[in-house]
Amino acid sequence: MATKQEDLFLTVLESYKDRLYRVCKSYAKGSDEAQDLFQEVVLNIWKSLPGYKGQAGLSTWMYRITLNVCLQARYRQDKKQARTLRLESIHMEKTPSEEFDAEEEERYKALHQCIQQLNDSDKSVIVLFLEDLPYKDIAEITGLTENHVAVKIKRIKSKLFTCITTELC
Amino acid sequence: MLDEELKRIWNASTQQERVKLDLALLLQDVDNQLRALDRGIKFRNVLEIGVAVFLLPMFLISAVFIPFLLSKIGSIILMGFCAFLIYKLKKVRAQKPKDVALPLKEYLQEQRLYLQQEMRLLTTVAYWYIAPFVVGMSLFFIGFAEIGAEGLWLKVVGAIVLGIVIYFLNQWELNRRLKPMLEKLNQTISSLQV
Repeated sequence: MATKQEDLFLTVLESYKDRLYRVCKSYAKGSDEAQDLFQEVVLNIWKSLPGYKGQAGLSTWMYRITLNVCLQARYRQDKKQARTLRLESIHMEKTPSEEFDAEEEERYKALHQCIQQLNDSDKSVIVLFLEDLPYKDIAEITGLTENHVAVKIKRIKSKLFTCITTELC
Repeated sequence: MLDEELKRIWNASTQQERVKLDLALLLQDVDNQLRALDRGIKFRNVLEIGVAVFLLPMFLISAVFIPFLLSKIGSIILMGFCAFLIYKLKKVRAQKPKDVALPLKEYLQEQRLYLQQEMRLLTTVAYWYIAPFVVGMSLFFIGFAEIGAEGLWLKVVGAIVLGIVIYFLNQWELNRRLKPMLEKLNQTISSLQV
């Protein structure tokens, strides 16, 4: 029988999996690397769950883990650990390309491309903004003040708009 | 392009690729992976620290039972070296950031602190690792000259060459992996603060 902690883990993962995967994708060079990152995030969430005392909201806590794992993986030169992770219970289901709007796809590619060009810290802030988190939560996740987050977001958005416009033209 | 439009495009990416979890298998799967990772960490610890733990009583025995003065001194130096190696590695490992749920800024600062300690360890390796190892081994071998043992100088040269190789391997690790990592971390921390 599943314990309370196991239930919590499965429930939150099921509800947040796609959101966390989107964040992983913005730090990865391709789909395989994004999957590796996501698996590492899942392991770290499970490992850290006994230490979760509810001081931060659960989503804030999970986004913190996701960002920290993604950044740590970028600094690690050898990708040995990521390669040895293989969680067979996690699969990616790709939608056939004819089922989604080509224009929409192009816009997403442009956005993704522009996010990839940002530095790591700007990337962390903007993906949380795109995930529709309030400034207060972004500040809690990044350790910055709300004002600082607001200033940063304004600046990053302006960079992003310029980049996307160029990409789409 | 409006904020809402940006967020919509961002969210729409999920339509193209969705994560599927096999919830019945996931817990078992995660447990197995963690156990495998733990085994890897234990194996590394055995390699790094276990050898020193194993050699410590060996040098104690040789310090007590080998009758040659220089070999005794060499053994004592090597005992101290092994004990210090265990202490030093354990101390640095204990400072490795474990809480991955910290706010990003704090987490990056902890990572930087740990990295700087690792770098300090490698920068000073000549004093705390190579010198006692080479001096201890050399004295240990030279002590046997009292009974006219042959090939002693070859062994001393071997110890020195091994010391030099270990030194350069450490410097290679420092320059190839740790320095670029610190540079990237510094860049991220400073751009986060701007």
